[in-house]
Amino acid sequence: MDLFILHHDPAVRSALIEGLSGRRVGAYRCDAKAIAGWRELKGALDESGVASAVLLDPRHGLPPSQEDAAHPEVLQMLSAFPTTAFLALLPVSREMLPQVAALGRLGVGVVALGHNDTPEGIARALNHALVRKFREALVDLGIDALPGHGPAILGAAGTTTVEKGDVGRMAEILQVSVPTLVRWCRAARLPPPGKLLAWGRVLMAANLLDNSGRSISGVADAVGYAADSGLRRVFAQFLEASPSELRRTGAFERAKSRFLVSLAER
Amino acid sequence: MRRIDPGDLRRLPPSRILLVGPPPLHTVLEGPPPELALPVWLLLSDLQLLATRNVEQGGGPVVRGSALAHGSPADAELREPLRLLDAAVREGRTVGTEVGVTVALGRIVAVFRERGWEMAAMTVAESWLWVQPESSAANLVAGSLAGDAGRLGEAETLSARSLIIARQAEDWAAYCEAGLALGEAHRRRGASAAARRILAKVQKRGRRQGLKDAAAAAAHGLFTLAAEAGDLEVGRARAEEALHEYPPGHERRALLTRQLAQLSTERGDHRGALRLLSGIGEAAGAPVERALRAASACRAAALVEDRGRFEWFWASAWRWSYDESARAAWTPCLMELARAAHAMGDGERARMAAARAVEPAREGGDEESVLALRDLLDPVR
Repeated sequence: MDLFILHHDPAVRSALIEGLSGRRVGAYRCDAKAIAGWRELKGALDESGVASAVLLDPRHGLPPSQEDAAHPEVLQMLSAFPTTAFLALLPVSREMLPQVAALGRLGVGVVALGHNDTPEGIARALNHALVRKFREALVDLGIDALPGHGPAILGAAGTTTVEKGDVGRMAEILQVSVPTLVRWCRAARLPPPGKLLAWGRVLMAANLLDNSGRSISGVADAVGYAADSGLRRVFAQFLEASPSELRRTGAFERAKSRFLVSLAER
Repeated sequence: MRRIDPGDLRRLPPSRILLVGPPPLHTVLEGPPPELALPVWLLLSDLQLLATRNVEQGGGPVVRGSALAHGSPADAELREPLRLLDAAVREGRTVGTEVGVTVALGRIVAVFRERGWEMAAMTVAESWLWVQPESSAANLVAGSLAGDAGRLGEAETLSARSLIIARQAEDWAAYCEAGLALGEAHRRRGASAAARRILAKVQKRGRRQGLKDAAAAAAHGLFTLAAEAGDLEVGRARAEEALHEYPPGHERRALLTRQLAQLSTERGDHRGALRLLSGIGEAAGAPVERALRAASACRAAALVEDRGRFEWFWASAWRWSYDESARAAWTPCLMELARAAHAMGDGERARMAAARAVEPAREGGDEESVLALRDLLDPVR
């Protein structure tokens, strides 16, 4: 996973790169890189070929008199890269709390500089941010309206997809055995767990196609296909269209409606 | 209490809160002053990071030091809970099962709720649940807040989780508390049969374990279900059981008696209602309860055309309708007085009471009462 670090302090930057490179975040290994400014960050995210995250000082580049607010670029980045996980680094003080609250309302978590900014602390915070991103897309799918254990099963499928986990991991999240999970899926009129995870990957890939500048092979890599041919094959099977065609016409909408139709047919 | 085998908990119903990842923490900053919000936010962040599941072993420390080093609040009620949390975090304890964490987070939620910081209380409760998903108390408290916020499905799930955990641990006080919450959540969602089943179990368990308050509260809940179904006979029987089990002087005795009187009124037994309401000592219950009781008694007296007692209770309820300590009861109290005066054929007083009720109803955003008052005012104009 590409992890881009935007921070004015070279000591902070190098400590983060040293501490986070190669560290595990969920299913990924971090490839941490320092970024010089907002424009460079946008370029790097456009070209990022795998799952990506950003660790930044939200005040980067602002004059000291304006440092109690986030840089306007933060908002633009969030809207341009909705599938990227953003985490802010801020020093611990009462004066920073309004900014913590404002970032939180935008869906950006905050790591307290000098307190829980250890490599392990940041890796765990990144893990939370990645899982939350995909869950937001699933909520958009309307899963909360499903009967019985349906929402919980799909929520677990979403988390498992992000973690690149298997059916065993999905059952572990729900604290049930695999046979029980299969039974629950049947009772909630959902596809079996393996099929759900396949749908999870299709939905995540479709979301990335729509909302990132990643290449098709980058998307395939991000969701765990060995090559873009794997993604093409699965899209043809589930969505009856190629990734480039779907990118033009709205991949997530198509994936979402096909998925809902497949549920209704059960 | 029995120690729980993790295998015993495999059948817990899944909570959505636990599946969406740890709750965002910015809402904990809404309400508490900055000197308190800062350590609470830091400690909750730390706890969430420490409780992250599916991580590599031996990844190193999560925090650099004490969250309280960045500022410790002077708040006497919260100093100790924050110190407990800080110690657990600094020492990297297994926060998912740490008793100090359970006690501290429970206390913080309670204090935040008392102070009216509902959003912040909800965030602390959901974080607590995320950190300690197998704590009966965390499930119960998060469920109660979900119920307050109208998320009844989540309230049911969390109360059911709390109940299962408490049953496995053979912690019968917690079991009864969770069962009462589950019964209430079922009732509010309209699942009366399920509510009745769980409340009957709590009543039985409470009696067996000598938990009289729990047994009485369960009988009270069963009474409420009967009252909602309009079943006076069953309601009376359940109310008698509850009154038998509530200790003398228990605050809820007065409430239950008034509710039973109300049911009697609805079923046309106005004399029975007046007898019940007159039988409660005037000083019983909190001011809100006393105000409502006086107004109900006034209406019952009007319905049996007992002018003397009508005047007596009118004077008492009218006084309460100016008393700040009973402010929450002003609208229902004045509405009941308007109905009483109307029944007594006193249009002038009915209009006066109804007109006075409009303002507190509007202030409280109680649109339903405002509409009901319009109906009440129409025939007496």
